[in-house]
Amino acid sequence: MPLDYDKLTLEALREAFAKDGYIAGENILVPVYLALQLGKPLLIEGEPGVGKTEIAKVLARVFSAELIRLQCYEGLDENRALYEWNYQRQLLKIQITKDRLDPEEVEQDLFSEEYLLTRPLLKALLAEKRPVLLIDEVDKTDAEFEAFLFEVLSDFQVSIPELGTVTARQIPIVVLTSNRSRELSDGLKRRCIYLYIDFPSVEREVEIIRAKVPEVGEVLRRQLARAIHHVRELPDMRKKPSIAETLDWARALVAMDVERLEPKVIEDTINLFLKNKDDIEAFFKEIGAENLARLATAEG
Amino acid sequence: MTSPEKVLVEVNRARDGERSLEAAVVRFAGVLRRLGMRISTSEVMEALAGTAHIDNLDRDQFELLLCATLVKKAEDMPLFEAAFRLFFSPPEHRRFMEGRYRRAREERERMISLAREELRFQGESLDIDERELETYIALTPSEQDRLKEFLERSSSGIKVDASFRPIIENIVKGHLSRRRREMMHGPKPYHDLRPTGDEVLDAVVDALVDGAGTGGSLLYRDLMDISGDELKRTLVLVERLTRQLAGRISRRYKRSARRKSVDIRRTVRANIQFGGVPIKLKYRRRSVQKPRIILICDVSGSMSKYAGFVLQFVYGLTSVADRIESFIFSEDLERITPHLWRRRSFEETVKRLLEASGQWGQGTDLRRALSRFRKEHQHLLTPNTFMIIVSDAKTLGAKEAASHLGAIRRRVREILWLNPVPRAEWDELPAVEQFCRSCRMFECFTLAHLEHVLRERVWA
Repeated sequence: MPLDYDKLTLEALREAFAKDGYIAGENILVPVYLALQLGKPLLIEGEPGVGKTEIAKVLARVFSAELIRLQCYEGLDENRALYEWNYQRQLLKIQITKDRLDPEEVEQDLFSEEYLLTRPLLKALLAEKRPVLLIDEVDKTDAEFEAFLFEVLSDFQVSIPELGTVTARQIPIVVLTSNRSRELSDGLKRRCIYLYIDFPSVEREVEIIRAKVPEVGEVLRRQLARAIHHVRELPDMRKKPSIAETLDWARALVAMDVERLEPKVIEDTINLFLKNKDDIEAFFKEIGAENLARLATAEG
Repeated sequence: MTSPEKVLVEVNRARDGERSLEAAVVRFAGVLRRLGMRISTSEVMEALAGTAHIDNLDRDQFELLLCATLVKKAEDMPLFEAAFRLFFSPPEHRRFMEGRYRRAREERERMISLAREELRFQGESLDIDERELETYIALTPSEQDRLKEFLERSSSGIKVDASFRPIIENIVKGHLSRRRREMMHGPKPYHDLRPTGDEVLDAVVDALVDGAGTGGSLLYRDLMDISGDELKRTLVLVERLTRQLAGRISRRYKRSARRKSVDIRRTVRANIQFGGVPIKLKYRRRSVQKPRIILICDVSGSMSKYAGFVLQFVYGLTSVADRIESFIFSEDLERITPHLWRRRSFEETVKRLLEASGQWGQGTDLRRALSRFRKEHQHLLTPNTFMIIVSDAKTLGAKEAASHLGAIRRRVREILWLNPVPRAEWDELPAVEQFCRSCRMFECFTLAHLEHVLRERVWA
């Protein structure tokens, strides 16, 4: 039974997230709930791999809504995000009908919805049922696109010169994510409810492993969460292991029939949670497999 | 009624009894603004609108509401949390805090009037401002005695009359301002906050400023104060900043093809296969000139630490510059570009430079350095070149150095001078004015300054 957007309560949202397997504390649920209640875009920032994008996916599932994703990249512009005319098709039409029809009629026909290629933003505005619009990695676009974006997000309408103004049929649930590779503009931030997701605590990560990789035994689960926590604490890590990497590591250890973290196991599987040479070197210099195994197992 | 859960109700009833939830939120936003956070009215209104949707008696929910609506930067969260804890604390704690603030303010006023009494010339108080008096209060008793003794001796000197007063005042002011600089060495966070007159607000801000100490983000810390064990973290931060900046700049070089004009020649050629119908459009490529950079770093004495960071920072931007040439100087100039091009870690590079160069930690002679630069490296100067000088402008032969700088200025796009001495103290460096005729000088003693200057001036 999907959640009812109009009768939403914090308790219902908490239950729906838990049912969907997204383990979230109040620090995540309250901002999400507020964004939904106030009809504001939710801007989520945090290190890569802490579950930012997943929130949009969970929202789409719990509301049984369509997930429309705009993946941002360098050089993304309005045409790719909003709409563009199907130029090739228009040309073909001109070629086919050039000797037969009245030119004015052809022109009118060429700029009709039939030749319009809707991109994610327009698609979200035109959706019949309230969709979830995920604008992923918004920090990768440039400032001009960001300005355009916050215009769309404040009015939920756009104008297409040839067609007129298009207003959203339903205000979509908007989730923006950013890896903080650059600072976003104040204008965009002002229009959003802000959520910063940090790496989870050991206890929370144990719960996440339990929910996502239930095959892992209780002992190993705790040891894994503690070990990852210690690795993240190392001061010289350039890329701290993400939750996804913890889960990959857990799955790999299950496949290897490992029940306890031992130095040899850590050494053999280090590539699963540390993905660059400098970090691996720093790991062995600062803590090493033996110490990590000791720390992970000593506490309980 | 336990205080943590019901604190808001108590806040509402606190003091004058008319405080509503709305007023508390607005005043709290005021505290955050005073602490440097940018909060718009629309965000405050959003926070107020949010109160209708959460349980306002649940302290955690209320904190999360204010955090999600008022704080839009992860770096501001610790400050927000501390401010929330203090502002929405139980009434007895608030009263204690307000009392402490009031007592501290009264004590400060008493000390200032005492200091004014002590610093007299021929029976009359000197005309010096509160900031200088505060410095006097912070001096050790023996230093204070020395200053008082100096004033007494000068007051009673033979042929000393009232006309000496301005000279004496200037000497005392100069001494105090120098001592202040030494005591502070770089700005402490929020040290310039002045009271607003609202005791609650001032008490919270004051308590936060007290607790802020010298900690805080490495981004805003004087590079001089970064200790050995923080060095690695700082270098990781430098790497992150340069990566962000380089990413942002390279985005500009690779703008979408759609914004450019159609290249007719290439379009026609590409569409011959379609009988000349322009199905595939080809666009003109925009050529973008990357800047050239000449870096001249002062590595004499205390400057070497700053120079190390600037070098590291600029080298992180290699991918978005056409060419970077680096020099270090103290008593003479030395080209270090070849050392920096080798693929070694920065720490190792600096270590090798230290071993190989005789310049680190010597005295400063910019005149000689620039003269040698003009003799041997003049060919590097082009209209697309930015010259970046990192120095505190305390040099021998400032006049001749300024004249060399003027000659160089005519051959480059711009000269940027990064000065680790705070702008407020430039009046005391006579050479600054001479150099500023040919360059733009920026105060630059934190990574935030450095990033800002490079972003706004070189890659604007």
